[in-house]
Amino acid sequence: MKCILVVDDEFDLVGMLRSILEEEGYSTESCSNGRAALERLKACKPDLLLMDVMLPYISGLEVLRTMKETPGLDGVPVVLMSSVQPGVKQHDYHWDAFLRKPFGLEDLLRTVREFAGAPDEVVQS
Amino acid sequence: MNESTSEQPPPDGLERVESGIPRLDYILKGGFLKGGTYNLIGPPGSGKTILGNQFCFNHLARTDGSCVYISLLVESHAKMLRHLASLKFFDRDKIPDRLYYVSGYSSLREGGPDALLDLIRATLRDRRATLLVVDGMESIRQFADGEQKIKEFVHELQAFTGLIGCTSLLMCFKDPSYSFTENAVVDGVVELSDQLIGPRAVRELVVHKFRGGDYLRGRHEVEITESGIVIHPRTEIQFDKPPGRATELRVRMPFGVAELDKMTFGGLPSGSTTALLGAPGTGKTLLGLSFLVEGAKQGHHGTYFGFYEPPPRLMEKANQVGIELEKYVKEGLIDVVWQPPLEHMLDSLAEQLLEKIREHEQPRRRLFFDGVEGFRAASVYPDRLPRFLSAFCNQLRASDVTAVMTEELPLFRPEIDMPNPELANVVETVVLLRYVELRSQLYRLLSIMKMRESRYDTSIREFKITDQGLEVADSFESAEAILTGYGRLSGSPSVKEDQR
Repeated sequence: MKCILVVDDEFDLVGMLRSILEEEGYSTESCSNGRAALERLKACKPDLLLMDVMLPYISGLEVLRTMKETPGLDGVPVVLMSSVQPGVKQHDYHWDAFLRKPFGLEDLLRTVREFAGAPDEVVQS
Repeated sequence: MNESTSEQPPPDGLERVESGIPRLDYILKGGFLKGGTYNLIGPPGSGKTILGNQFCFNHLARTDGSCVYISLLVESHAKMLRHLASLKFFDRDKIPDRLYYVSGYSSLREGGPDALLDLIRATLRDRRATLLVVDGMESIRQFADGEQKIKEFVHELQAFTGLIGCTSLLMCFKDPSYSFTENAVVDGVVELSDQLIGPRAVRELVVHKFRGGDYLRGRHEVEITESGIVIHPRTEIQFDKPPGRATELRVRMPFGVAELDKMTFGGLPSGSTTALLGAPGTGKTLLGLSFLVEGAKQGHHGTYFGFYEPPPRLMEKANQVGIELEKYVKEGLIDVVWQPPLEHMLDSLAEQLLEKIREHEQPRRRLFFDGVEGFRAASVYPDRLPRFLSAFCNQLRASDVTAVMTEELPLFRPEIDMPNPELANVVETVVLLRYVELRSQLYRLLSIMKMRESRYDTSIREFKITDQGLEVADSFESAEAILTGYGRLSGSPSVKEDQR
């Protein structure tokens, strides 16, 4: 089953995103700050990282920098979420797509499907 | 909107952090203390979130500092930013590098106040914050085990922010059932309110506590405009200590109406305030305009501030009776400021007027204020008016402004009854204009009822408005004849002219 890690400090948004993605057939995990996100990423590599930029403890951009420098994590697809476009050069950090908050449901699902792939179909035995 | 002038640092040497919110720093007599912690309390809609964000953006515009804005289940940041984007102070480029929005609610929910405190401390250090805003402090109550825990939280937070020199604004919903014991440990408490008084909705700000300095006490009107929060300090508390009486040489300020200037022995004393009383149509506005134009002819700057006629109508009206208002307005010697007769804020009106006057820092300025009822209509609390007028007129005196104010009397009552009796105590001079009926004709009469600090002619004179200007009869015989009803039709040129 495709796994998506959702990282956002706004707990209502996290809950909503997880609920929507699980209804779509993905499994999800969540963190509310950058430090916890890095720990989770190192423990278990997800199929997609859906992450906010402004996070407590370690910012989303710092997480990206660490991922880029960490073998095994540098290949994880990343979709950033924020109200403002990050003011940094994209090649210094790696992300694949940007969703501007507040985004619509269709944009979310299209972007997730594009970078995480379609959710695995349950094989009927 | 003019920014309020920065106050000098207080003599105790405490460093201040300016909010940049119009006149809030003036109310606090310099701004917030650097490293201080302040509670901002208010109901929904009172403007707390705007104030917190405005403080942040102003701080970034004025200093090299950075800000952290922590929300606790108040509003999603995306939605809040969308709402703020229409305000002038908003600067998206500052986010996230210098203004960092974080939700602390997950930490609070999972780990309680201690976890939230840990998150705040880590974020402030990481961002090198010089300003912290916490929005939604009421959420901590739900996870704290008693009020003492909240005080501990605030106390620990303020110990840390003081250490790193970060000023903090803790914003909290105003809950009547809550005692706000943490107000005892913070450096200051500011309250915003939003309430209905009669049909009017009024936002107000009160500073309840401010350690380390004095502040302007009482309620101050709050306005939310496209510039954000604007505060209008109460006029009577701002100017409660007028400077000593002016030592400049007093001169006479004529009206430009020959006989009236004789009655006043050359004109109004400079720096004084005069009330023109009269029913509608008795000529108050024209007399006031004549006063301004006469000053302009002498090179003195004048300001008209009125609630009744818009500028084009005013020019036309003056032109019809030979008062050259338009000429001096074009030359810049007279400013015309018109306030449509709608809902206003009393102290905002006073600010606009005083700021307009301060634009021209020169002696012998003249002000014509048409009419005092505009102030009364703008006042939410009518009993403020006497003290307000006193403070306002004191400020005009201190600026060497000679002011003429109109007050409208009822149209049909024979007795003279001032709608604002306190005005007579505030002003130095009272001039009365009224109608007298004689043989199916209405005549205008003018008399000086009071003129403090000066001698004056106490006679009652006939007052006429003609195509060539304003005229006051040269003796009291004509008025006396009118009053006694023995007007002589033959051999009395004034009466004949009026019947024309």
